[in-house]
Amino acid sequence: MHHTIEIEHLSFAYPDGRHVLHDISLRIGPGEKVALVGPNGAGKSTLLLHLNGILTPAAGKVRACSLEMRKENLEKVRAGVGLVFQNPDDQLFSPTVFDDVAFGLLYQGLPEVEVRARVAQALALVGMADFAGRSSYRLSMGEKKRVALATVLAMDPEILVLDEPTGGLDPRGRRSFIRLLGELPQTMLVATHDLNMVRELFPRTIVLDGGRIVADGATADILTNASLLAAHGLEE
Amino acid sequence: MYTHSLDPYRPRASVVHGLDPRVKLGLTLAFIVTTALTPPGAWPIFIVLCALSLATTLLSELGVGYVLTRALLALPFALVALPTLFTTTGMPLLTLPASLPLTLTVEGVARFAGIAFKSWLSVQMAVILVGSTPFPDLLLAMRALKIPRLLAAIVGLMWRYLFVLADEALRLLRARESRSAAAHDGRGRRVGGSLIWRARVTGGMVGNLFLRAFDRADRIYAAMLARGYDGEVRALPRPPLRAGQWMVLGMGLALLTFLALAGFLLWG
Repeated sequence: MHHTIEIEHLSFAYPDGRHVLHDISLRIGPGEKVALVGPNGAGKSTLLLHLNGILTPAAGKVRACSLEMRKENLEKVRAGVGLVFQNPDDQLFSPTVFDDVAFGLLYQGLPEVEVRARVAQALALVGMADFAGRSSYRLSMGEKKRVALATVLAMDPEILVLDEPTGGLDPRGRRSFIRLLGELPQTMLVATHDLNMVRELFPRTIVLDGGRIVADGATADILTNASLLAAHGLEE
Repeated sequence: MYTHSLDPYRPRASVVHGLDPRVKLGLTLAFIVTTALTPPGAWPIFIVLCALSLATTLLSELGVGYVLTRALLALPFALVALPTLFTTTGMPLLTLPASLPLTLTVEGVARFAGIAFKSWLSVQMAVILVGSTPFPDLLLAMRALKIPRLLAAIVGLMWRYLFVLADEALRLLRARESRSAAAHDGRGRRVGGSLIWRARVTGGMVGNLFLRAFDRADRIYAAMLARGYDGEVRALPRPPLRAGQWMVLGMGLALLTFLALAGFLLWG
């Protein structure tokens, strides 16, 4: 089945021996919007890095877009899973906004006409159409976040994986970013501390703490469970 | 984050690890100076120095293979000495074809081998030093040995932010990897772009990293000034050296001085 994320008994340790993920199993169906919450250091970002094969599990299986994370599949997986990093400065490594959004498309070897059209489309979608010629380095945080999202939207992914999309944004920037996310049709897994956004956008929530899934269910149930939230350092 | 494998410190419970960092730094510097002063051709002295380095490696429990391979880092620096092969006058060994009027001499080869060997030996000792001493201790030792405070501060800051920069570079590479994908339809297009395009992207990343390092330096300096930085990194005083440590230092220095003198008198 396309558009799905399937993880079975995933465990992971960094080379220095820190065990970050323990026996993670979950399935996210086509079109589902899921929030991943948990304290700092819970393993959220590490889990996200498994979804397009940047990190390789020590044990267990990860499948995205019904593709196993194997070396020969990685380029296909990365076309299907758009991963937006927490810090947009990491995502934006090219001299101009246009170059950054075009990177993935040029890598795919698309013809120039199509690259230009899709870059323009992606930038328009995130409301940054006028910024194509600007230097990514000089943008505000909110603008950088939008461009970072455009860099993966241009590649037309089936699944969006976002790490703290509203982190570091001012209220207005946050509001318009949430509105933007709400309009996107893709399957979504979003790591965040922003529980108000979770309530607004994501019907399902997964709580990660100490590298384990401690709760997985309807957002309405999880966010009203005061003792669960308190036990894992989350605040209403 | 994950690149702390860059840190050369390997914790062990060895004698060398137990030595006071000031003693280790002093002896390492003395070893390097002695090695540098030993005249070319003084092979017996080199053998003794080599034995000293090997003995220290064994005592440090870092592993002979580890120290020797790490010390190969010295090789590119030895290349600087390559011209000595031809510029030293002496018995000709080989003359290159007429278009290049260069003559390889026996003395030239001996001198080059000497320089390469010396740098390799010196780096071995340095590898043992950083492998057996946590870096902060090494900085304190530098201060104790009256190495100029500005130099020590620069080395310290470089060390502190080397990992930050390496992590940042790692995240950039990951972001690039994440978007290095094949097209959905896969109509047999060549994936990966041209070499020149890839080089341009990499160039952009390097420039990006540089700009960010530059900005970060400004922010760090402002934060340091805000906490009253005046050019001196202060630390609690270290206890004075114990008698045993003084003895190791004295004996080591005496041995190295003797070797340097012997080399000078017999071969210099």
